[in-house]
Amino acid sequence: MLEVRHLTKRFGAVLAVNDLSFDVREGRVTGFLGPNGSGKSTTMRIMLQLDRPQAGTATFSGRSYRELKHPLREVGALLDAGYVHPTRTASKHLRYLALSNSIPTRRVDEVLELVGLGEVADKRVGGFSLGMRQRLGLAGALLGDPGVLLFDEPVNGLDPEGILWVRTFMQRLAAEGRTVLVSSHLLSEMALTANDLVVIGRGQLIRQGSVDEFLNQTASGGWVEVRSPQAEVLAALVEGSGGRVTRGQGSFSASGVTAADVGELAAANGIVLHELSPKQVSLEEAFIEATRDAQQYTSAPLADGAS
Amino acid sequence: MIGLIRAEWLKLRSVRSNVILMISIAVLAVGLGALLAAVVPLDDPGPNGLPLSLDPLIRVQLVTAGFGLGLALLGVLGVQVIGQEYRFNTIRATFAATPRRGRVLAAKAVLLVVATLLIAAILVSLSVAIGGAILAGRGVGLDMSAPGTWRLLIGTWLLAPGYALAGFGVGMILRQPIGSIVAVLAWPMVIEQIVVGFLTDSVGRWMPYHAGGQVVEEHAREHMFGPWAGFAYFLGFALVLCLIGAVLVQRRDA
Ligand SMILES: Nc1ncnc2c1ncn2[C@@H]1O[C@H](COP(=O)(O)OP(=O)(O)O)[C@@H](O)[C@H]1O
Ligand SMILES: [Mg+2]
Repeated sequence: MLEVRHLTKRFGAVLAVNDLSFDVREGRVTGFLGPNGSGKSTTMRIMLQLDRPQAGTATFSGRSYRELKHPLREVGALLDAGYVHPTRTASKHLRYLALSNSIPTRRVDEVLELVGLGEVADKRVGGFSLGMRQRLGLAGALLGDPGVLLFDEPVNGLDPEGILWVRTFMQRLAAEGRTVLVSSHLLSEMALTANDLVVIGRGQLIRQGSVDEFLNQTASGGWVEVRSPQAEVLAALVEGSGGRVTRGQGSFSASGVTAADVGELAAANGIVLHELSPKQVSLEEAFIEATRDAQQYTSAPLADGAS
Repeated sequence: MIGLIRAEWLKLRSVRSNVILMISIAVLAVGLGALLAAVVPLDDPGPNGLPLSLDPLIRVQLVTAGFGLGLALLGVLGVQVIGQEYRFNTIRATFAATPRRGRVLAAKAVLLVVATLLIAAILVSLSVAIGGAILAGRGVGLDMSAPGTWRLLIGTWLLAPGYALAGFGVGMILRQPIGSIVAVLAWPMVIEQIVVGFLTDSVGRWMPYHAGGQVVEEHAREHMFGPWAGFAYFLGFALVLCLIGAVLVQRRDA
């Protein structure tokens, strides 16, 4: 298990991470979600002790990263596919990492095959596409067969096929019992990949829990759109049964009740319905709602009294 | 630690520019001496007023003349070992693999010392063999028993790790290779020349590269350190640069 406790990191005047605490459990894909600039990459660099925080700790089963004797055998990370020298070959890039952590060098060929780079093992990395570099980064993360995996925006710049491949890969790693943390600024991506979510905004924790919980708790969850010639009467009945109602012209939207509740109320009272449709908050709406207060750069709201 | 040193050795030789640099050092260091041995007139009076044919130590200096530049380029190699890692961000892959940064830096330093001692041993020997053969062909071979000869050769050899470590230290402090390379080339070849030229009797002796260079001088020069004192001072200077660099690397974000 990966535990983050009270992390704080400042870059000059910028407070990138602010007293951030959360847990990442094993056997699950945990999405690390936040708008751009919310401090995801910084947090992940701190986990590997590449950046020095002003306060706080990140521990792997109770040990800090530098206490791991051969860290690549316990924690694999793909923070940025660009951490390679362009004139070095893929195989030599992995070989030096293997040597530094006493990992048998035959493992280099294994992971290159695993990510589909076996053919280009002896080619210089400078000629690789972004997708190939991502795969090489993934191979580096898997080199030591670690129980914890950290991926920072791994699908950025990938084509749909690559995205699907990475997504399936991460789910497979979690199914093998590993701890998988993957960051993204897109909730829709995380909803497809992750089991759990850690949502941050402006370096602060906004919510931690399962993806389903997040979607249910956020904003109003769902509501029902109702149109009826007797909208007023039905709205009053819905309120009487404990629902909340927002009235419109011959229509209203109700929350706190299901479409079935409204339909039964209408039938029992002989009311004609022209529309009865359950609505879900979209994922992105839920996410924007949750991070609204923490957004650094929100677009200016349309002025209300302008017209 | 052995694994880390092997990893650093692989890193060094798997980057094309490093291979090109090492080949250039070999060609320049050996080639310049060989060229001079072939063309310098034997009977014109040299710096000591004696013709080459009558001055055995000058002949050794001649065949090792390429090491002025060769040593400076070993300093560049010292820069590259760390500067390239920062330039291409591989420093993050390196420190993620070995979060105890001091161990990585120690491995790099050990590799530099061992590698430059090996390289310099080979190149000094080659210079003596090739330049000596060319001079012998012209009728005045090297006289290895002439006083000062062995100090010059061993001094040149031992300066190699000093230059490399100084470059390594500068690379750690500045973190970016271009500025560091300019620094390790311009400092000894331009700045120190000017300072020693104009301020010979005041700060001149404290110029580290010049102090180190006393070990290959024929005679102790006025106002300067003696040969081995100067060498020790230079080595101390290189180690202090490494120490400052190592502290900075440990403290800063990678
Ligand atoms: N090395 C750095 N120097 C200065 N500011 C930085 C540095 N790295 C990140 N920041 C700032 O910290 C904040 C968080 O950035 P980051 O962790 O990259 O966010 P995310 O990965 O969520 O997009 C941003 O405001 C960013 O500009
Ligand atoms: Mg980021």
